[in-house]
Amino acid sequence: MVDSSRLTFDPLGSVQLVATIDEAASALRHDLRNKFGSVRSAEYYIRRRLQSTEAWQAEPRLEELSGVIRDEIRVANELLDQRRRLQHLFVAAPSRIDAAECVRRAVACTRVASDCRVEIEQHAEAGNVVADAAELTLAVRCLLENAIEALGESGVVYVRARLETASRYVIEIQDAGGGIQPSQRAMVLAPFYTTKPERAGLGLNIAQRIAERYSGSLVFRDVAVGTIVALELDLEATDA
Amino acid sequence: MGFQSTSQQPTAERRLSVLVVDDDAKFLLSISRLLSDDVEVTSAASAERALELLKGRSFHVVISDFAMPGMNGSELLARIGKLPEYTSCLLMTGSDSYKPRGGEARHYVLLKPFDPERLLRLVKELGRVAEMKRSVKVMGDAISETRIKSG
Repeated sequence: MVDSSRLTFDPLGSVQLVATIDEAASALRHDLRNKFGSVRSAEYYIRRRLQSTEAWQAEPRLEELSGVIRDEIRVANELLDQRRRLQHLFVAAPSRIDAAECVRRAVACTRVASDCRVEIEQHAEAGNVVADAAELTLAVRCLLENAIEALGESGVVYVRARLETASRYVIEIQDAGGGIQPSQRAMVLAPFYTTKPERAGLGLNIAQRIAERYSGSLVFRDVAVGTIVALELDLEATDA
Repeated sequence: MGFQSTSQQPTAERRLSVLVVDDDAKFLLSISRLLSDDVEVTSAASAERALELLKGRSFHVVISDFAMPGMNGSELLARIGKLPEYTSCLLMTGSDSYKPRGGEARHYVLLKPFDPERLLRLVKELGRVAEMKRSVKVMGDAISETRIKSG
């Protein structure tokens, strides 16, 4: 089977590449911090136990090497934190945009495998938010592609974008797939989680990261059949 | 994965009890060993396992990782916050994008990798806070009972 989407120009390709690298790097930083934490705690325990022994007094290199472990962990962690210096390469400058336009663009460039009969029904109400248009479009597309995968070979994905309250804009993506149990929701949001071996398992993470970057959130909403994933954003504040 | 280890050392005074929750086995081991000289440590490899343990007994402090498969640390600590007996909660995370979400219970947050001595100090302080709050509640309940009887 050939995925036709890979043969055509993808207007979000570069944005998706940057978002994927950013997400994968974030997961790596998280895992490394865990490892640093384990080593640091282990070093502390060993040092504390040895400090009261004759061996510690007789062998000054034990203290010296213990210090090397602490220093190297500290430096390695500082190197990880230095990625903030590169943040401007990954984060676009937000501006006032119409979220509905992002929804329409996302629907237009969502990739559907050629042997699938999947339709996307959209209703997008205008609403101004402060975000980067390409990133928000990518976030919606990630959710759409996730929903399409949940459907299998055929079905309909619904996109509803509307002003939920006077200050809140919500983009809901609903599929009629197998659904996600509340207890599984945290698991599917773990980086690299996927039921499809050919996928990276970062789509929901990318959407969540983009939502949170613009003070929004990604939430699951209860539904009888399938899944509703909602991207909630603050509407741009207007002067009274 | 789901080992559970308890380290207890007899001391003259009652030791603080701490439950550590993390899906990373090596991290769980190292932090449990780190704390075990000063407090009684029980470990759990998941939030679900932690809730099972909490059905059978209480802890002064629960320390939980944030990102875990299944229920995450924030949800776990929010549930613990609703238990009848006060339990101090501490969340650990190595995520650079962690942000407390609206509606979450209040708890202390430590970013990994943290200074082990700082963790020890914090755990002891949180343990004492739990003991104090529990004592105050017992006294309050006793006063209420006395009033009802005398009224």
